[in-house]
Formats: sequence, structure tokens, C-alpha cells
Amino acid sequence: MLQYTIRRLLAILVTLLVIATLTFVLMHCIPGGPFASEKELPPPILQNINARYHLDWPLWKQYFDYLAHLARWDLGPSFKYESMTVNDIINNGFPVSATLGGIALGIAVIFGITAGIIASMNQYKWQDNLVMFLATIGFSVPSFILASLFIFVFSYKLGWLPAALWGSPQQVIMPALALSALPTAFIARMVRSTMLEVLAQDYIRTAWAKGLSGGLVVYRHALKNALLPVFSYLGPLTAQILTGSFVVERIFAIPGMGRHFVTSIANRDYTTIMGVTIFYSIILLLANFLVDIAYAYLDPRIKVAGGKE
Amino acid sequence: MGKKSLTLLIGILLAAALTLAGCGGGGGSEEKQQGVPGTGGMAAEQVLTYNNGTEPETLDPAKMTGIPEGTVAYALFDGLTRMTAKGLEPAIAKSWDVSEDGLTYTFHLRDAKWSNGDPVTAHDFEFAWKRALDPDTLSEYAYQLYYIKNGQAFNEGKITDPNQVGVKALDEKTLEVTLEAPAPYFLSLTSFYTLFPLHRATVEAHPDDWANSPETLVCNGPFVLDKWEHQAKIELVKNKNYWDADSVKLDKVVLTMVEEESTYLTMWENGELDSIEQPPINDIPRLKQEGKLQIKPYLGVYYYIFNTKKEPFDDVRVRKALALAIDRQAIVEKITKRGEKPALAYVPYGIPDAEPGSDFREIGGDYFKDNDIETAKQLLADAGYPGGKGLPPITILYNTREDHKIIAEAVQEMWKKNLGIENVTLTNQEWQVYLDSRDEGNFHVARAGWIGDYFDPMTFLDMYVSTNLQNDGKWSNAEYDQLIAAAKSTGDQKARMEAMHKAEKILMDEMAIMPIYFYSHAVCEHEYVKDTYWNPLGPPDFKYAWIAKH
Amino acid sequence: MHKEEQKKPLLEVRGLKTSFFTYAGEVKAVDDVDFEVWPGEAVGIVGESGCGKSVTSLSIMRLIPKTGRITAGSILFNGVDLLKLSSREMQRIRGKEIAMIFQDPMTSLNPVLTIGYQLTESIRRHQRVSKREAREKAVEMLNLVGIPNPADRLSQYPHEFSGGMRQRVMIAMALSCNPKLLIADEPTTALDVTIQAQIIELLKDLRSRFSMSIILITHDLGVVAGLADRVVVMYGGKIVESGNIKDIYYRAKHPYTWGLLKSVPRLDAREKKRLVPITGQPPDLLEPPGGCAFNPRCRYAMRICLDRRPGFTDLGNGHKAACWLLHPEAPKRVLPVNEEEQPGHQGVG
Repeated sequence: MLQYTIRRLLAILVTLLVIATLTFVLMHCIPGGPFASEKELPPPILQNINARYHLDWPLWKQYFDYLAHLARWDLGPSFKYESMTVNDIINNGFPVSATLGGIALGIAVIFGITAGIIASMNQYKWQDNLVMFLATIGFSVPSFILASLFIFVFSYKLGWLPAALWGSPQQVIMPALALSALPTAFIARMVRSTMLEVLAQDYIRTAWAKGLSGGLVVYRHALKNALLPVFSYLGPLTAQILTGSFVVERIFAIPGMGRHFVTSIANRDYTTIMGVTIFYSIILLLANFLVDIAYAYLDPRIKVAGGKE
Repeated sequence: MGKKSLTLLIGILLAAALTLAGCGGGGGSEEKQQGVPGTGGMAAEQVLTYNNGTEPETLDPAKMTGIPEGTVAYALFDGLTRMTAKGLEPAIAKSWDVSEDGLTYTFHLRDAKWSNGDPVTAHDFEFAWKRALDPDTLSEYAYQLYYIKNGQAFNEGKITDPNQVGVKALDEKTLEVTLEAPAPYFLSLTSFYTLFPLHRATVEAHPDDWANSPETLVCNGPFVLDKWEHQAKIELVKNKNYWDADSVKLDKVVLTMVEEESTYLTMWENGELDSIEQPPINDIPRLKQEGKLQIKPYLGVYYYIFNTKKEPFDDVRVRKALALAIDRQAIVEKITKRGEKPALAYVPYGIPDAEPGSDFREIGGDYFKDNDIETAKQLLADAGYPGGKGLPPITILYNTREDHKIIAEAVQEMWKKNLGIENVTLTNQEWQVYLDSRDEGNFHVARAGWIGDYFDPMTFLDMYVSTNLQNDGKWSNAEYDQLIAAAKSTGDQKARMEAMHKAEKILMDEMAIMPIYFYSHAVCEHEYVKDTYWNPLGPPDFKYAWIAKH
Repeated sequence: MHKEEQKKPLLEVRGLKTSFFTYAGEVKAVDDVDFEVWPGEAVGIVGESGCGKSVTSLSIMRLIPKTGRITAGSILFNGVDLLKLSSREMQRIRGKEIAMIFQDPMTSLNPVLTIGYQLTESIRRHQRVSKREAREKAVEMLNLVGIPNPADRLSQYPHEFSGGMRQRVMIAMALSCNPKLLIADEPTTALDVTIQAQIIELLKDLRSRFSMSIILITHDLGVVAGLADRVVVMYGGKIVESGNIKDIYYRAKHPYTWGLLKSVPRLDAREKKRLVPITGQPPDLLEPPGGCAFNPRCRYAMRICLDRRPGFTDLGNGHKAACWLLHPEAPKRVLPVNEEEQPGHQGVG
């Protein structure tokens, strides 16, 4: 297990290097720069600015300089926001996004799995139809429509909740619900499908034949098998949801990380682009790694390569 | 087990919520808005919440360039002068003398304090201006100080001794400024944030981050920085050490950073925000009807640039024909809907002319008729393209945004209908790509917009001098250049204004650019919010604002 | 061998009908089946795939999948009609009174739970014992079925056992609560021949040790011969012949039974003897042929076989068969008379 972990971590580092390089190259390929504006800067000032941020160095030099800083986790200053470094941006934004994301994830997992089980246990009956109907809605209605709908209903019409901003428990409810709609729907459908598959298996028939009650059959025998595929979805889902959704955070004016993935590109804020991309990659790679390890514990048929049984 | 009940419960809750939403009127917002606005009765809580739109890039006045930043700057700092509803008022400078030749200004400062108790001195101004001009400071708006002797040279590194720059503190309370050339609008420039003073000791102690936190941000304006929650909000509280603290009624200003239009409109209608600017276009007719909208002046113009180096735009008749065939009234009424005025000239309303109380635009008048289809048709025929035939394909370039698209579509349609020009296409590009295209002359007709930096026609007319890098269309007229140079070299307002009117006439006669409308500022302010000054350069000023009983 | 008549049979199946309801219509998988199982006896149910034997056993356990339903009949177990019990009461029967083992040992055990857990689970479900006692019992059972090192193997997972071992574990699981009736649905079909023999021997041994009844479902007559006291032959969802093992093997009276017996390869066959299959296809249970279900494939079919379903003819000693050939007015058949053609000369007993 230790060997495997070390090998995986090394692989992660290599992957990160590739990602950093690709991002660096791509971002310098698009026209424009961080200091472009309609009111053009007088050339000497532009020169000075570029010099200060080393944007006048040859690209390869900028690249290695960046890597050297990256190794110390110094992501550099933001070109757009003078008062923050990229580390600041991530340190400020990630906890907020992660909190919102974590809550949405919790909702998705709890409701999604529950709904999926209910649907699979009542195949073709009204419970199944209701769950599938709601899942289709959650799947197809884009989060910004849900978000706007929630604000309209719960804030504007009913006045129950504040429309936006962040800080109080009431301000978490609508964004968390809007954010959780798609993953909940996805998990519900997935669980329903895997449960149906599992419930048709021979070993479930054996369990019934042993005289076990329905609860034991479903929760002890079926669920563990059915949840394995869901687990592998959780890896990328976690990474995506924890680093913030651009749309939901924008509509609810939540000071998270999500917006930076999009705005940094429009701003050509090179350091921020690199910083958030690498950060996201780290989270994603780690999440996948943890899922793989967890799998080895959950599914006895899987042996971690080279590990002991 | 609760499985069935759970599903049932969810279903009921959903149904209930939707039903409740369907019936019932406009929710809680109406109640909150009622309440007779007291005649001068001040509310117990003097807190104003305004949506500033986005996270400011910086709070260092020397480095900022945008309107959200400006809003905070006007609240935190006081310059030599301040622009208010009554016009330009003395601020830190209580009086000033101008030399005969208009080159030397002597400002006499009043007794004023920084937020930490230290006195505001002329040295603070000298330090701040030289710092803004210092190439190492990387101030993007340093060019605002180029009017000062050697300002540009110092900023461009041609001279390295800051003492050669024409600003000097003669003593604690006297600031002497020497200009390169007479510039009557220099006085109003002193109200602009790039020219604000800075607390020298603090800035020298924390050169890179003094403006990043309340602990180090020492200021001299109506408010001080209390909290800066990045991407969430900025909270300002009244500055007890402000020299004019008696005029400041508000105890606290909260600036939120909500970017999504529909969200901040909902928050305003809910009463969560006291005032907002630029509500979503589609809501404007309704807001107007409900009496919730106010239109404030905004010093800006929306126009299309012609690439005069490309056929057929090198022919003035073609340019004029295209410009005259547009129905601007229809555009502002049906598309933009924010109460804009059609632009039949280039320099917007709101700039004073030579006589006090006069307006440059009003005196200049219109240079052509709106929707003058007959003249347009004739001009096009004269140019050799009768009925629009024979024209090479025309592309209109704009940066990707819904409103630019709709306007471009309208123009395209108008050219087709009114002039018979079939071959017009639209191209949209991402902002920076679009800027590059304009810079490199990769366009036929490009959308542009310009907001003034100060209250003088020069901030607009300056751009179309042959040598100006911003002149993307590369139009060049020797007489225009001369007139502009003349206006820059004298202090005689009458002579200047005359020269600039003449210059504008040439610009319009040659239709180097095609003006479409003058910007306006649509704001929604609750009735109980009083005396906010909406500066036509963009940022609102809260120095004199207060909240009435409601 | 069956014991002397007890007062009542352990299991009485009367008029059982089980159908599956599909888009295409009603598939009558079990169409009016009657039989009994006495305490301590082993009954073999034989027939080809699709004849209804598995569905019959699943009906007894009430484990028919949701697409199907028991439409008629009664299943009396110790006098109690299982079809009238609530699901909770039925859960108490399953595993404890009646146990079942299935065909494919590779998929019949839960891959993510240990063998030990799966064993102790049913023990603790049906008996009030502590964890430790349940584990001891589990070890005992594994020993009984011939698994070496049982204590160590409790913490292992199914994928760590071979096919034959897994079947043994299944048997251990089934017998752990001492059921009165064990239903074995094709327990050896998925195993090699040598393992098959071992499993059958094991079942024989356990049967006498625990004095339990066994219903053995299979299509393999060789397997039946090794274990059963009585045989029930099914075809097309119905019973066509039943009797004790000697009667069936030596004195079969139904053409289908003849066909089955003749198609078994014989170790002592003369070299050039061909195998004799039963020609034709199994019946379509959606639209079964009129009359006797076997008539399309029967060499001896008469006019009446196409029209009417034959009733049972009692042949004495509990032997009965449903065939028009046995009707007194039926023409005498050219029966396979030669020794060679005499089916079933296999040394039964």
C-alpha cells in the first residue's frame, strides 16, 4: 500500500507539471494581456508594468521562474487585483466555495441515494415515477434558472430568505439547493440503476432465501454493492463542487473561488489562471486518488497493485 | 418506514411553495418601501447600502482606473477640490491663485487632519503626485499628471530627478504647481482620484500594501475603511477627523459587490439595498412606469469608428451616408431604453463652456440630422454607389455583449432598408481580441465607447489627433490637429472653446466617427435616500448623503 | 428409500399454478402441479430447461420475481399453507424450516461480505445466539461440508474460494439452521463431474445426519439416480410422470420419460451406439399446444393427444403417469421390448 501511494503521488506530481505547462502555453497563445484596456496605456508605462511582472522576459524564462515559485507554493501576485496575491484569492475563496460545496454535496449524497433506493424498491410505481420526474428536472434545468427561480419565489415573492450574499445560515439555503440539483439527480438515477442491477443478482436471491428481512437485504447486501459505482463518480464531483460554481456564486454574489476560473481568463490574469487551474487539478487528482484507495478498502475483490491482501 | 412519507412530504412542500408563490402580490418589498418620507426628518440609523458592482482592483488612488474604485476613493479621500452637485468646491485647498500666464497655481490649504490625527500638509500632495508619476509605481493613470511640468518626462524615465517635476510644497500649507501649458480644466482635475494626497509615513512604511487593510489605510476623507471582505463587501464608517465632518450625515456606508443584474435588482426591490445603478435593461420600462427609476447624466458617448484607411471608408461621402441613415431615436427608445439621448455630435452634454452656466454641447448644437435618409441616399449615389450597389462587403465589429449585438443588428437592418446595402455582416470578438483588432486596424466599422476623465471637451477631442495612439480609425486632418494644439496652449477659455467647437465641426463634417448616443446613468434609489451626488464621470459621492425617516 | 408412512407429508403441493405476465401475454410456467414430499425422503424433480421445475421450487419459497405470480393452488408445509402467510411469517420459514441452494455458486454469494458474515447472518437471524456462538456454529458447519481450516476461512471473501468450495459453503449456509426441507436447484450443474459426485455424496451424508427431506431439481438423470427416493418428471409446466426411483428407471410409462432415459450416455454401451435425443423443441409456454403438451415430439402421438390433456393413470405403488397410451382403449404400442432398448438399465439403488 505504501509503495502504491508513493507511486501515485509521484504520478500526480508529473501530471501537475504537464497541466501547468499546457496551461502556461495555451494562455500565452491567446491574444491580449493583463493590462489591455480601451483607454490605452502610454507605451512607457506599459513597458514598466510588463517589466515589473517579468512579462517582458522570454517565455521559457517566465515558465521556469513560475515553476520555481510554484514549488514553494508561491502563486504570485494577481495582475488584476492589486491588493491580493493569487494565494490570497485562493485562501479567501476556497473555504467559502468548499463550505457551500460541501453542503450541496451532502444534500446530493443523502437525498440522491435515498431517492435512488426508494425508486429502485418501487420500480414502475408512483414513487419511482416521482423520483425519476424530479431527477429529470434536476438534470435538465440549468442551475442559473433554478437559482433565479428560487430568488424570485423565496426572496422576492415570499420574503423568507435574503436574495444573496454570504455569511448567515439563511444565505446558504438557496445556493446549496441550486448547486445540489444536478448531482442529486445524477446520483439518484445512478443509484436506482445500480440497485436494480444488484437486486437482480443471484446473491440477493440467496439472501432472501436465507429468510432475511427486506431491510437487511437492501441495506446490508444490496447497497454496498450498488454504491461502488457511485463512489467513482464522487471523486470528480467532489473536486468540481468544492472549487465553486461560477454561475451559482455569481447569481448569489457569494465570495468564493468559482468566478476566478472564468474571469481570470477574460482578464488575462496569467498568474490567477495558472493558480486556480493548478489548485483545481490538485484537488481533482487527490480526490481521485482517495477514491481509488477507498475502493480498495470497500471492494474486497480489488487488490491495490503490489499490496498485501 | 419513512420512505413513503418522505416522498410525500417533499411533494407537498414543493407544491405548497409553488402555490404560495403563484398567489399573493409582490411580497414583502412593498411594505418596506412605504412610509411617508419625512420632511427633513432623519432616520435613527444612518446607514447607506449601495451596490458597487465588483471587487475593486485596488484602493490606492494612484493606481486605480475604474468606477468601483473611484466610488471608494471619493468616500475615503479629499483632494484639493471636490466635485459636488453645486459644482467644483474647495476641499483641502481653501483658496488658490493662478498666475497671469496660467502656468502657475498656488494652492492655500486649510487645516485638515488625516484619519490618524496627523495634519494634512502640502508635502502630502507633493509626495503623492510625484509617486503617481514615478515609473516604478506603475500608475496607469499617471498621464493625468502630464499637464504638470516635466510630468511626462519623469514618468517616461527621460528625467530621473523628481525635484524637476513642477509640484512643490512651499510650506506646510502652500502647494505650488507649475504646468507645461495653460490648462483651465486643471482645477477640476484636482478633484480626480489620481491627484489625491497620501499619508507619506504610512505609504513609505508599507509601499506595496498600505491600501490593503483598515489598519494601514490612512485617509483624509468623509469616511474611513472599517472592513474589507474581499469579493463580498466594503464597510466604511464616518471619519471623525475629517475637516468637514459636520457635513457628513451618514454613520456608515456598506458597499456590496453583487455582479448579477437580476440579483441586485431583486435585492433593491426587497429593501436589502438602498441604491443601485444600471438595473437590467428589460426591467427598465417597468421600473420607469412604477416610478422607481431615475436618469442621471453620464459623460460618455457610444459610437462607431470608421477605418479610414480601408475602402470605401476613405470617402467622406460614404461615411456620412452611413451615419445619416441611422434612426438614433429608435435605438434609444426601443433598444437601450435607459433614457439616453441620440448623439448628433461627439462631445456629450454636461461639460461647461466658456460662460459660467453654459454647456458645450448646447452651444455647439447638432451637426447633422437624425435619420436623414434622403441626404444619405444622395451622398451614397454621389460617391458612386447608387442604391447601395457596388459597395464591397462591410463588417461591423463589436465586443461580445448582448446590447452591442442588438444595436449592431439594428444598424445592419437600417443600412439595408434605408440605403439598400445588402452586404453587411456582424462580427463579435472577446474583449481583448476585439481591442487588439481595433489597435491593428483589422476592422471596417468598429463599435467604441468613451467616458470622459474630466470636465472639458479635450478629454474627448484629444483622441482624434493624428498622432494619438487611440485613434484607431487613423483619420487625420491637419487643421484639426492645429486647432487642438491651439486649445492646449492657451489659458483663454473663450479662445479654447472656440477652437474646440471648430475642431468638432471638422470632425463631424468629415464624419470620422459615427456617434450614436450619449450615455446616461440609470439608477434606482429608494425615496428615503437623499443627496447622493451622481458624478457624471461615473462614481456616486456620499459625502452629503443622508437617510430620511421611512 | 422412503420411510414408512408418517401421518402426514412434510410438504404438499396442490394445484399449483404460477405464471409470468409479460408484454406478449401470460406465460404459464407451472400449470397445475401436485406432489408431496414426506419427512426424510429425497424427491428428484427432472425435466429439460424451461419445464417449470425451478419455478416450482421458487414458488414453494415464494421467491418468484415481481413479474410473476402464483395464480392458484396451495402449498402445505406441515399443514400450514405457505401461500397464505404474511411476508414476515414467510421470512421466518425461509432459511430456518425450508432452505434453498442454487445453481451457480460463483454468483450466489455476496462478493463484498465475508463468508463468515454470510454464514453467521442466517444463524443469528433465526436463532438467539451470541456472535461467538454463531461463529462456532459456522466453523462447525464448514467442517461438516469439508472445508479445510474453517476458522481461518471465515474472514475470507467468496472470490477466494473455488467453485466447488463455494457450493459447499452454500450448503453449509443452508443447513446451518437445521431446516426440515432442503431445496437444491441444480446444485451440480455448474460444477465439474468429479466435484459433482462429491457434492451429491455430501448431500446424501447430510441428509441422513440431519434427517431432512431434500427436493433435488436437475435435468441430469445420473445425478438423480445417486440420491433420490422418488422422482417427479415435468414437462411444459406439468407433471407427466412420478413414482419411486425403481419404477421410473425400470418401468417408465410416459414417452417423455422413455426419451430422457434413452438419451443418457451409458458407460456400458456398445461402441457404435448412437445417442438418442428427443427430437423437437421445448413447448412455447405462451401458446402451448392443445391437448398433451408433449404431442409435437411424441412418436406415439394419437389423434386424441392433440385434442385433450390426458389425466393421471394410477399404476400402483404411488407410480402414476399422464398419457393416453395408458388408457384402456388405447392401441397397444410397439413398445421398445429388446433388452438393449430397455431404458434405464443402470443399476439403481
